[in-house]
Amino acid sequence: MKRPPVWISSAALGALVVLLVPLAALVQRVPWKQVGDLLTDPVVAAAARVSAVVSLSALALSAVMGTPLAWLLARHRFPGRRFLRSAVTLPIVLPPVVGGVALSAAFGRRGWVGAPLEALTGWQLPFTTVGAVLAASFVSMPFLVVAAEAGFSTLDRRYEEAASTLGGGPWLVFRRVTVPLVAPSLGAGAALAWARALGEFGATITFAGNLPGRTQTIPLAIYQQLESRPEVAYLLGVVMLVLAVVVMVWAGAGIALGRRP
Amino acid sequence: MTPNPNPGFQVVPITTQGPQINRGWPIVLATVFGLLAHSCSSSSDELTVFVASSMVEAIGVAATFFEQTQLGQEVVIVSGSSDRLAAQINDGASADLFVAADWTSMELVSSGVMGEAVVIASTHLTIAVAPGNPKQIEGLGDLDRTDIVLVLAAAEVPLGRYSNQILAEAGVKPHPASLELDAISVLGRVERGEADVGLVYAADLYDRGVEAIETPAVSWLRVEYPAALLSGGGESEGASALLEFLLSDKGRLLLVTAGFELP
Repeated sequence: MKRPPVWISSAALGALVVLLVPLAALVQRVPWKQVGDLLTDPVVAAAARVSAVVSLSALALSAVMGTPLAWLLARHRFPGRRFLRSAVTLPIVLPPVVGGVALSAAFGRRGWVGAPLEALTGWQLPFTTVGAVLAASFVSMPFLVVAAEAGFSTLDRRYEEAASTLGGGPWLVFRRVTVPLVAPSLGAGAALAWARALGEFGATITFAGNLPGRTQTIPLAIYQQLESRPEVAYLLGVVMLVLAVVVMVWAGAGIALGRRP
Repeated sequence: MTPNPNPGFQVVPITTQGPQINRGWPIVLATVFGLLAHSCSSSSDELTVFVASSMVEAIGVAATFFEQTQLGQEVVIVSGSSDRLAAQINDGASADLFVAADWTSMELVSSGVMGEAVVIASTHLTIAVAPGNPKQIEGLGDLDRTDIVLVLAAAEVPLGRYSNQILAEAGVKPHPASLELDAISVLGRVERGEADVGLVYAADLYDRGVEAIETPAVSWLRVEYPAALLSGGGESEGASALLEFLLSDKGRLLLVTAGFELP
């Protein structure tokens, strides 16, 4: 095989330095001998718990509300559909801190929804775990919607029509035919959405604040501990790295499943 | 395939793109790296000041005056929590002057400090509430109420350490809704109505839309802002001129006007 030109190799090497050297350096900084103690550290344990609750709740919320939205966008023609489709994916490219400011404007104590909600029920979303879930959902749901919509619109409808002809009701057809067929897309979308929810920082700290055990997720704990207890920050960083690998495998499995004939 | 209309000629794919790219890319790469190299090193007359978030506006005003007296001298201000700034200095950030919000973070700077740190200003803590004090906060004792949204600074930053000291001294056990990672964020929460109450620096309230509840139980603790010259930025002459300016009558007047107290 011909050797690649020097400029290609050197540029590729540059890419590897940018992408992989930081991760290796991070792993190297963890004091592995203390890992046992660090993993049971109250700050680490609380952040891991909050992160698990918040990211999984956001994923559930995205699946329960985002899948029907994707279905409508893919299957129904209504005025403003294309605009809506672009609008709901905006959070993917929006800086998360802007998302946090926007969430405050809508669901904050003086917000459009937040103020009447507090007046009527006494509930407040900012500084609560529910608020953190809302922030995580805002940034992660679009990933699931995009993937699910692609699945729904590329699906061969003849399978569903055949099932209807054979006497299947709409719910049965949806459950037994449509969902299994789009499952790979849904799975990959769910993996990406979960990863995004797990890594959320800007919208969370802006809208939900930072309180250990309530709204302090792993990324927030990393940021807070970086100076005072760097070893905790490094360890939590590697925890996130491991979870990122899990997500890659999960999403990869979904895509591989989708390619199966 | 369509038949070749001109049988005397072969259609040959254009193959000159490879060498063209080869000629173009080194220029692109050189430009990128050139730009990177340029932006990595600060330009000759740029003086970099690391300032605790609570003092950034006052130092900004003072720096503007300073720039007018020193022709060609540009002051770049980097703000953040004092501890984060100290860590960045230790990591090799190029800074010429560091203004911290407490001695703990000043002492975190392990290398590059030139001479002794001097206190350029001081302030104290106060209770910040929304205008008109709708939650009727009377004093420090109200901070453990559960019907208020209280925001404090995290113990990792100077304001958080001061706050904890004051609360511990008074034996008040608060239920904060959030622990902010720098001083200015605490004030922002109260200002935007996201929180009812916050413990903030009195100097930061200057020209802000919040009300202060002054009480001796809070204001007894003196907050000092130490400033130190650093060797990291390579602009030590300019930095020492700026520090002199901050300690001069004019500089002090500017700091006092911005709400600080004299050291």
